[in-house]
Amino acid sequence: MTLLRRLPGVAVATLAFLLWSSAFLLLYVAVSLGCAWGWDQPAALGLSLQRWVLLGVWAVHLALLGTLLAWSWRGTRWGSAEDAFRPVLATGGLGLALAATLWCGLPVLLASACQ
Amino acid sequence: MSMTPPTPIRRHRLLEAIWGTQPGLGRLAAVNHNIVGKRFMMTAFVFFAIGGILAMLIRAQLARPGHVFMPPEQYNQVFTMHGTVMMFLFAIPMFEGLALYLLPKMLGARDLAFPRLSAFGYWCYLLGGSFIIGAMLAGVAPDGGWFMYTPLSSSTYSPGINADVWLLGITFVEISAISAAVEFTATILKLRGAGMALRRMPIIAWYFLVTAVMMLVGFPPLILGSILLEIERTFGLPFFDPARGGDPLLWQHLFWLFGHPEVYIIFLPAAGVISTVLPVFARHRLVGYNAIVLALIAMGFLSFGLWVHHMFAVGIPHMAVGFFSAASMAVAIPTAVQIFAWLATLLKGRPRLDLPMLYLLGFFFIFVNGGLTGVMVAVVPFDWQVHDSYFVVAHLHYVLVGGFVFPLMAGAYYWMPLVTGRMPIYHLGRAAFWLIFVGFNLTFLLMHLTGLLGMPRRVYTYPAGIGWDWLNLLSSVGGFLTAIGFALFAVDMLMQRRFGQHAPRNPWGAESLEWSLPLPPPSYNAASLGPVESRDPLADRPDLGREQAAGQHYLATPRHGWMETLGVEAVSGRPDQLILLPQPSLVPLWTSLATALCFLAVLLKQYWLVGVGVPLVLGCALAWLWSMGLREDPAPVPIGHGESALPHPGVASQPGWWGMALLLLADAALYASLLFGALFLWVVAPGWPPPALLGFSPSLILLALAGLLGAPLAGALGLAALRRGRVGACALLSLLGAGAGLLAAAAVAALPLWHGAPPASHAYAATALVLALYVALHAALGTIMALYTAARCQAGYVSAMRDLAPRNTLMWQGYTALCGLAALLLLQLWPWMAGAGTTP
Amino acid sequence: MAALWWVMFFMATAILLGVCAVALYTLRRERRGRGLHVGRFVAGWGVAFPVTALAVLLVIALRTGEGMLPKPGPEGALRVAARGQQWWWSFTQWDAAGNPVHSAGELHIPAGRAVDVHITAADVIHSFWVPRLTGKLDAIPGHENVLRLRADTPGIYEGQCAEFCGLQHAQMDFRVIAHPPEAYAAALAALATARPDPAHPGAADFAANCASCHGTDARAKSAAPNLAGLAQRGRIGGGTLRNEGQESVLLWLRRHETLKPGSREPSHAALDDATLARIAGYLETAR
Repeated sequence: MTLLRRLPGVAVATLAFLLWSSAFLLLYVAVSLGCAWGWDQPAALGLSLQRWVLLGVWAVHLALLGTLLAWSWRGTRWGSAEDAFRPVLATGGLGLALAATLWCGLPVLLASACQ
Repeated sequence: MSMTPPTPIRRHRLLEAIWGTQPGLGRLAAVNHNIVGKRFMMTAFVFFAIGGILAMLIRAQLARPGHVFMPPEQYNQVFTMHGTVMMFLFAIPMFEGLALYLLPKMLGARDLAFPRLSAFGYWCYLLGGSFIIGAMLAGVAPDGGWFMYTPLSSSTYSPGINADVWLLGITFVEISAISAAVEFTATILKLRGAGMALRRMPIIAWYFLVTAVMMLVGFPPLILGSILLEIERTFGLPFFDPARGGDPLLWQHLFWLFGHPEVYIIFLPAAGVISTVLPVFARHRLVGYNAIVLALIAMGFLSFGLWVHHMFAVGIPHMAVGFFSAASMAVAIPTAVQIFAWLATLLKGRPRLDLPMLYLLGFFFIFVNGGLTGVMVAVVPFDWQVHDSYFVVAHLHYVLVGGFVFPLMAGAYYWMPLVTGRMPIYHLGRAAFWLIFVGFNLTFLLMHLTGLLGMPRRVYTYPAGIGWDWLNLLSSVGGFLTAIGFALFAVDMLMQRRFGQHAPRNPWGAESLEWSLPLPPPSYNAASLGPVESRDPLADRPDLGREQAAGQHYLATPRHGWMETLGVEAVSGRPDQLILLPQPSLVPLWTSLATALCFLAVLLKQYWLVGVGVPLVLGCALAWLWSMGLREDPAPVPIGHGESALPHPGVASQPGWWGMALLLLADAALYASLLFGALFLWVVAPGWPPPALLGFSPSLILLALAGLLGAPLAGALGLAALRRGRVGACALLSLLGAGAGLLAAAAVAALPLWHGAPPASHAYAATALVLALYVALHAALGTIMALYTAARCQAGYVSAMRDLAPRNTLMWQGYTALCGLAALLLLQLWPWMAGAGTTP
Repeated sequence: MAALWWVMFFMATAILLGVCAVALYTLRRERRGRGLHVGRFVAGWGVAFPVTALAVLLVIALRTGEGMLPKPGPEGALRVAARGQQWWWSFTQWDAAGNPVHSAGELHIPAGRAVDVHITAADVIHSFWVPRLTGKLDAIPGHENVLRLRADTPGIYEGQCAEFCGLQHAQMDFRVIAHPPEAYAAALAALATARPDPAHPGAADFAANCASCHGTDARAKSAAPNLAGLAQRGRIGGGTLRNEGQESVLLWLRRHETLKPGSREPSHAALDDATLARIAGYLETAR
């Protein structure tokens, strides 16, 4: 947490979007592997094992980004112009990455996995 | 400083003597960014003209249905070359030239971090580009489309050397892109004016930084794909052949993993030009600097999540396609943020309709149009309809011409006074604008309709009477109007250079550092380097140009013939070292010629010549590196403003360290693409599992592990000894590390060679071989570096303070060990888990 | 789909004109707007507005896409096969008894019923596209893709290869012929018997010169385009020529090397005009 405060804004934004990349990549891998290994049959509560894995991957990344955002938000003092640079990049970056992760995961709820 | 400061005139003469390039053949040794940057831009413009002529040939062919202007084999070469030239030989190098020329001036430096690397990149670009154009003139240009899809580009369906020309020529040109990306990243992070914190950088430096990092990660997948395809074509290793466990889709993934970020790599620098030029003509500072920087970082990442949107019609599961569709829409948001930040800047200011502004207004119409059709093709079911139709041709030209060419023409008119010292002549520039604008929209607006009416791309002819005739005819007319406009633009540039009025200093009233320089700028940029106290240094010190010329700031007094510039802490911008840049040299030219020899040898299938070329390249590279560095520990020297700094060979975070780290980032991207390829084939390709897995060999694994881990261990111990001042021990341990590297190379390469099936039999065996060879090659290069380090220790270039050689070697050895472990896991753990026994 | 297009079209036009209007408006000398709150302006128009519009679009896009997938349904889709090769399409239909009926350049389907086209490729990548019926789907060596389509009314629907596949990518057309549902079985049966007349004088020439690649029996696969029912086809040579009878076939036989350079069909220079005319006449009986 203190480390998060000490990092330059551009590093925090990069970290945030690396988490987005991780979510995106793992979701894509889970779809591909799940279809290759036949995880798309109904398993529990009407959902397939594949879909549970997908929801899990998505939720873990959202939770991680959400936690980081909450930490960053509490310590944020917004300023103007040059002073706002770090908070915009750090807190804004975490918020944007969280929103992007939420957005890009929407097909988990809306699309067929293996067709 | 001890001696009396020289007068401005005398200072200019002294600096020019140090920084200037020799006339005559000395020009071949030029490394100065002023010269190399202009060379890049002029060469790129020549390639743009060639690409434009090819476009006119296409439009002539398609003007009428059933038109016999070119036979199909020629048409296919022409459209392939049009795409290839515009993407690889025009857009990217034009950005490289612009950044080379502008970055030091805008950052308040005297040159880039690795001037010889710029020169090397230029020669690679020129040679590789000439190579491809030469092939076209000889009638053997690539003809498989600029995307080179397999199996059409495989040796079965493209037996000639056309495809090899593409694969080898483009890879050669990519070397210059990777060099430039390393160079720009290191320069932006380290070579700035005193006090230029990250948060104060000119906005265009942010654009260039994000672009450069994207190039480091985005280009390696294509380089890997080209290498694999060339290996398949030459030696029959089946990476893309579905009959032997390969998959044509692997090529598409690797290509578009590069190809989509590429679109943003082209757009972002041009957007940077807009963010720089627009505020000057709006007469208001850029609104939303911070938000734009954040948007850039977001775009940099999101643009790597779009590549499958070029593959919506290949039959990928709907959910996977959905992720990419969502990301393709998401990337519109950071773009929209920039568009509205620019509009807000215009709204807050008092815009004046100067020539650059006219081109920016053209940009708004064309690019926003292309962005909106981009959102449409991100909609999967709509894309299934328009994909590979003329709708997409229209879309991509709106994005690329709107998003790159128009902003760059605005930039050309804006910065020409800087380059030539002369002001634009207005009438021609306006006429050129209207011709290009009207012609472009006539050509491409109609193409949306042509595509919706079902005309597919890349057809050399089409039947009459299905409603495509008049659309194509008008598109051709528009195309020729556009071409005349571009010709006028070129004439205008020449006229301005020859007849334009002399420009006063800072003619547009801008506030960024490049306008503090005399016009045109001397080879060393500024006679002394001014401090930076805000985002708009010329607003704080309107008289900065005179102060710099009078030597009131940093590095005002030339000494020892050193080519000096400031190095700063990356984040805060405080000076932390004095960077001594290398002299002009012919080594970059020789290195690129040796590299060209290797590529030509492969193209002409004279493999023995590779045996000549590779040692030549290595020799040139070692000579290049050897010529730099100091033989005694430097002491801090005064840099002006009462401060002093250590020359960079004595500083840990010197540019050379950054260069190695960034090169390894690109290398890691290549390796990650290779691992992705192996995994992809395993999961998706037909014909898996393979008939035989690699044999399990405990002895080779132990030898490989000993070599892989031994090399960095020896390197680390050597560095520790060096820290205690024991240079000789460091040299000895380096030799030990060299031996370990050799052992690792031999053991890892032996694995697939002794225990694998013939590599041409199945994609598994082929992938295993390539993975092993990748690691073996790195281990072998590690050996050469370790030997170099030992020699540097012996020659007195290394000390506890001057430790770059052992540190970089250790970084390389550590990276190799990580890659080797990953490869061993994949190659040996997997067969072992599959229970394949010890030997086949 | 059409509705989706028009919504996107009007939205896009409005945004484009709006942005350009604002950009031009700023050039006016006398204007208000100095009091603009830039943060709200950028956040509202650059973030909130596009996020809302795109969210609606994403949901519609995914739902529309789901509806186009070849999912098993209550009525069951009819299976046909399409195979792309340089540079023509071969198709296979199955009759009610499950026997294959092969054809080249023309795919026969019943109207008003879901049809699953199983798409493969013989050599390089091609793409199956019938613009008026549905989107395109690639034919990729080593893979089989399934495209769901439905022709609501009987008729002829033009199709073409949409992925660049080499020299003659431009002349790789095909047609989808949608028959009235009740007439579909009869159409397949007619195609299965549309062989040329074995008693025709050209039969021997055909057997000697063409039959090693071209079949004339729709029940059997053939390496080169199957010529059963050739006389009834609308076009020949992958869309190179309109089929106006014997004359068109003869023109193709004489000049195919200049009409479709690169085609895999060997040169007929060794055959005299009378032989070619007999072959054309023989094929004219394939109806």
